[in-house]
Amino acid sequence: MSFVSFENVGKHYKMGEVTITASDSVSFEIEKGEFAVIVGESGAGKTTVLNMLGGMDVCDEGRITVDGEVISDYNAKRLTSYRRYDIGFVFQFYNLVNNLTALENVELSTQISNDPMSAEEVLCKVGLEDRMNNFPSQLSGGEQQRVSIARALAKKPKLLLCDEPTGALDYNTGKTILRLLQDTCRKDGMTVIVITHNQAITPMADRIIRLKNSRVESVTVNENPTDVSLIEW
Amino acid sequence: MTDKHTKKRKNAYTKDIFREIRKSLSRFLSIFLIVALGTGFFAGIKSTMPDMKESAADFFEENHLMDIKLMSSVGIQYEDLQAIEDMDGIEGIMASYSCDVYYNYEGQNQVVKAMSYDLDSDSDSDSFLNRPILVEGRMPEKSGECVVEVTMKTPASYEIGNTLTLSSPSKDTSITDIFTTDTFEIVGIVASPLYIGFERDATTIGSGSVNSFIIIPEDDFNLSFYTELYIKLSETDGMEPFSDEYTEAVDRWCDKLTETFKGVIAARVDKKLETTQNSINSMEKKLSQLENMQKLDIVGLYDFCEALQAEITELESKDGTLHSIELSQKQALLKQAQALVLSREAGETAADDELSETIEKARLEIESAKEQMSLVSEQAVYGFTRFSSSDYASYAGDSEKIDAIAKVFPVFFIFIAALVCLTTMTRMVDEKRIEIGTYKALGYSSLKIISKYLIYSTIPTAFGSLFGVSIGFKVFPYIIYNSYKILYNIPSIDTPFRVGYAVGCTVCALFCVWITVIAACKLSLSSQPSELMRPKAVPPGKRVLLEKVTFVWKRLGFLSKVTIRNLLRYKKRFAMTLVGIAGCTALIMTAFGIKNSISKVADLQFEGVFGYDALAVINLEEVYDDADAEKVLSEFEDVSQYILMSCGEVEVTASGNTQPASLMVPKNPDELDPFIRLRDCKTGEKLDISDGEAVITEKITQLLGVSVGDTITVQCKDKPDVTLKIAAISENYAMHFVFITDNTYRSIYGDSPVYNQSYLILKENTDKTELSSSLIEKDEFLGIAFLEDKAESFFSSIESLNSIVWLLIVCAALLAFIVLYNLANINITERVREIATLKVLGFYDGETSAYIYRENILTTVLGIVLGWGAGLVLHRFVVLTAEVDLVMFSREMVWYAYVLSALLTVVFAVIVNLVLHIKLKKIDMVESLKSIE
Repeated sequence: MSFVSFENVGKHYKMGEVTITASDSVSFEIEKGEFAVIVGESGAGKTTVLNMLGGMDVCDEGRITVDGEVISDYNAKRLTSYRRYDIGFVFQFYNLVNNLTALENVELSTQISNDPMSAEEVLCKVGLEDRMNNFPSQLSGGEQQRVSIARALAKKPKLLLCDEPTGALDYNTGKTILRLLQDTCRKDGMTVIVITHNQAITPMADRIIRLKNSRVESVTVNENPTDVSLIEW
Repeated sequence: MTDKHTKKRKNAYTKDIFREIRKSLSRFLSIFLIVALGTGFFAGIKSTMPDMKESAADFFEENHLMDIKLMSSVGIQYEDLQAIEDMDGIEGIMASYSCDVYYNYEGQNQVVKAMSYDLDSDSDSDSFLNRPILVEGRMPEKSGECVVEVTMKTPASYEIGNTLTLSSPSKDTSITDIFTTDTFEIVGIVASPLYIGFERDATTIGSGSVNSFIIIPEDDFNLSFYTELYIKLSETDGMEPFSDEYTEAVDRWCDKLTETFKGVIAARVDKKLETTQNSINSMEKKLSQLENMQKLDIVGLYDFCEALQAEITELESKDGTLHSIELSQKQALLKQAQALVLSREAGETAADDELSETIEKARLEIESAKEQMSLVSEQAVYGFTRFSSSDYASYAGDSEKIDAIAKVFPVFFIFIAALVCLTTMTRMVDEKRIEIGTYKALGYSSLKIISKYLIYSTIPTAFGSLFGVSIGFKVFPYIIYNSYKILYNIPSIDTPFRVGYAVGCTVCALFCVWITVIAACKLSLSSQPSELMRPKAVPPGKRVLLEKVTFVWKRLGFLSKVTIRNLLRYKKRFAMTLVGIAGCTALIMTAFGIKNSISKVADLQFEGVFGYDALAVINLEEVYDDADAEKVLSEFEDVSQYILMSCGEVEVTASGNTQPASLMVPKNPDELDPFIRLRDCKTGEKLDISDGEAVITEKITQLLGVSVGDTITVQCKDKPDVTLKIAAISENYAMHFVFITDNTYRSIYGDSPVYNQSYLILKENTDKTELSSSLIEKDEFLGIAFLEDKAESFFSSIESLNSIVWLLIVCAALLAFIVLYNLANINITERVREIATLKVLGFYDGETSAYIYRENILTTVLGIVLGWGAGLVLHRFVVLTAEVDLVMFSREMVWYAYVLSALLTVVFAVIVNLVLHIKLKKIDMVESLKSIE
């Protein structure tokens, strides 16, 4: 069985009289240690998939399993634990706590996990050994995103979920972030899932899941992923 | 621009504002409530003084309270009344009877002041003064009926339908010499505008003070003269009865009327003296004739008779009517002489005996007439105003004390309201920066943009203020007045809506809010539009001082770190919350503190200072030797210890201040201790009274501004003024006392003190009723008062303070709710993203809430500590302001006030945090994914 699997997952929102289908029997699988990209236009249903995979929302039908656990059956409390221990989340706008230094922002995560890495170690790993004691406002966008990644990695999650990680960054910075994510996947064997509207970055992925109109349009397995430095957009 | 166009625009504008209000109801409510609380508190306390004064003024006006009372030692006759009535400026005048008599209730003689009531009183007449207010039942309609007053200390038998049997206070007169009957049926319960407090007149009988008054028909009085003359002036019409204007007017009139009255009385007395002198003269003439006649022998008598006969004949020949009196006197004398002749001729002595009897009688008559003349010739007149009643004067003083208290609170509430408005409006302007930027970019003027916020803030402020004052006007005077009701019995208080105060408060509140709005908008408006349309730069994280103390900082979790940094980053909010919480704690602490300070007086005085159980009043008419009273007391088994005391009312003067006090002279100063414990007010050491010096109680030294070693002047009625040196100041909480030894008394006044009271210590389980009835049966004692009863009535009066405590607690709670909720609300809206992120990171609901609570908790704790300090200051201020001259409240803060104020503040904080928890739970994690606005 695959590490992550969606089986006919459906999600519907009721807006008064109208029912909007955000996910229409979505099915896909992702293997452990893969670098997967979920790509689609706005409104294709990316965020809904992200929410359900990240344990921030529940599905109405179908089954979601992660590492053998059926998370679609979880209640709110277990979903919180799932987010706490199993998911590393990287946000488009980094979502750092402004009043905490880089180091303390990572500690925000390590202090609630069971067997975390040392916060300093993770920050060194993402290349911020000199900026540990700086506040977010003193860091560049790329540096902030590194802190965000460090925060996600520090708790040793099963999955690293990245929501448009380059969305708020310039071209070059975006690339260094993608390299960091790719390296994390390749070197540490971390399963990384990137959700984006940017088609250009798909060549670097092991698996590409394309969404369109709330459905899975195609799932492509890329046997020879391109190195980040060769990607242009 | 056409009118139609303008109207349309205005509509869109107001629509926008109303939508804004609907969208941000909690912000709207924050401003509304804090303004309502601030203005309500201020207006409520502020209107209490005028409400109390005006209610009293209406009460006096309605019941035609006199302005001036005249009395004289020779009474008042109808002709005196007529003479005064003829003066200009007299609106109404009424003469009445009064007499202090005994009413025996449960073995004790209560002094009752019987006052007259004219059954034919015309309610339209300006001369029907001091109208009794019927509380229950009806007024007397025929002889033998009475109405009574019911207060805390009146006998329980004062009930409609009961009959009162009165007795004369003096053995020489019978009750029926005073009244036509000795029993009166109670037909109604009344109050009198003459007595607005619980002080009743002093009296020369019984315990020395009147227990209560009763009103009986005027015709039931047997007195030959009126005792009081009440006058209402026309000049004082419409004057405020406590104003300087009124005081000046009545003082002037009182002097003038007393002077005139003195003349009227003197003229009447002179006339009477003249007639008395004339009759004395004629009596003396008659006496000398009789004495002469007695000395004559039989021959002389014959001659005497003849001479008389001749005179009579001569008189008869003249005009009879002119000399008829002289004629009849001579005829009577002749008759007596003739009878004497006859009797002596018959050898009898009967006529002689009769003559000597007549002579003796005539002598006595002359003597008593002369005595009466000497009495009458020393007539004194007295003039009184309403201010002669200390209750009347202190009523105004008490209401002014509340006004003084009203001066501190508004400062605090305006401060806190301004802070709340400032933080709220700053937040609003921050949220709207893109909108402001857009307007600016479109070319709108700053004034146009700011006006939206001004109007937005005006609505909750104006409504909040009106709402607040409307409630404040009703609630505060009512509750404060009710607790003053233990002291005053003006039946009800009017709480009108005071337009002036309402407008003043609203304008002030609006001004405050507008200034905060302008302050909040200033920064945004001075920025470039482009800058405004970008998201606001988040205030950068800052290191705080504490971080330098690395060993502490390292130990703190990120929650503590973020809390401390946040608190210090938003200083305005931190200050607002701190002041709000501190205010809440201080208010509650003050409330409990005041209650304790006042109720402690009873404990400290009745259990600490006073050690005696009962006080028996000695009947000085029966007891000529102290040993008599002591002998009677020693016969009572229930009395384990007693001490005789001379207690007299004196005025103590020092450095220009005068205060009333009791001069206490214990018979055996060394034995005073178990009865009254004199302890040094500072060290608590036992004090002894030594010869030549005085021990004086604490509060009066403060009022007079004297200390140990200073001298005081003691004025006692009918005695020369004396000066005493203060040897020590003793702890005492109610009334003022000056203690001296009997030797000191003898050396300053030259005679021995008269022991008029006896303090008793009773055995346990003494039957009080039995003791008092058997003691009163003894001629040596007039009555007995138990300390326990006194303390009890004091305690029950303190119960009414609870309403003030509740009032303060409710205000404190509102304050805490508004401030904490406001802070937390701003915190949440501003940090939605952060909170959503924490949820995504896997924080449980409790942990997420704790993240926000920390700030609340820390501010609450700091606020409580700060509030304790503020509470101490506030409590002391209120205690000192509210204290009456005769009482010293405990100034100490009681431990449970600290605990309760902290506890209640925490409870309020917890309630707010629970509400927040619900709000936090509802925050959607998706917020974390949204772009920054």
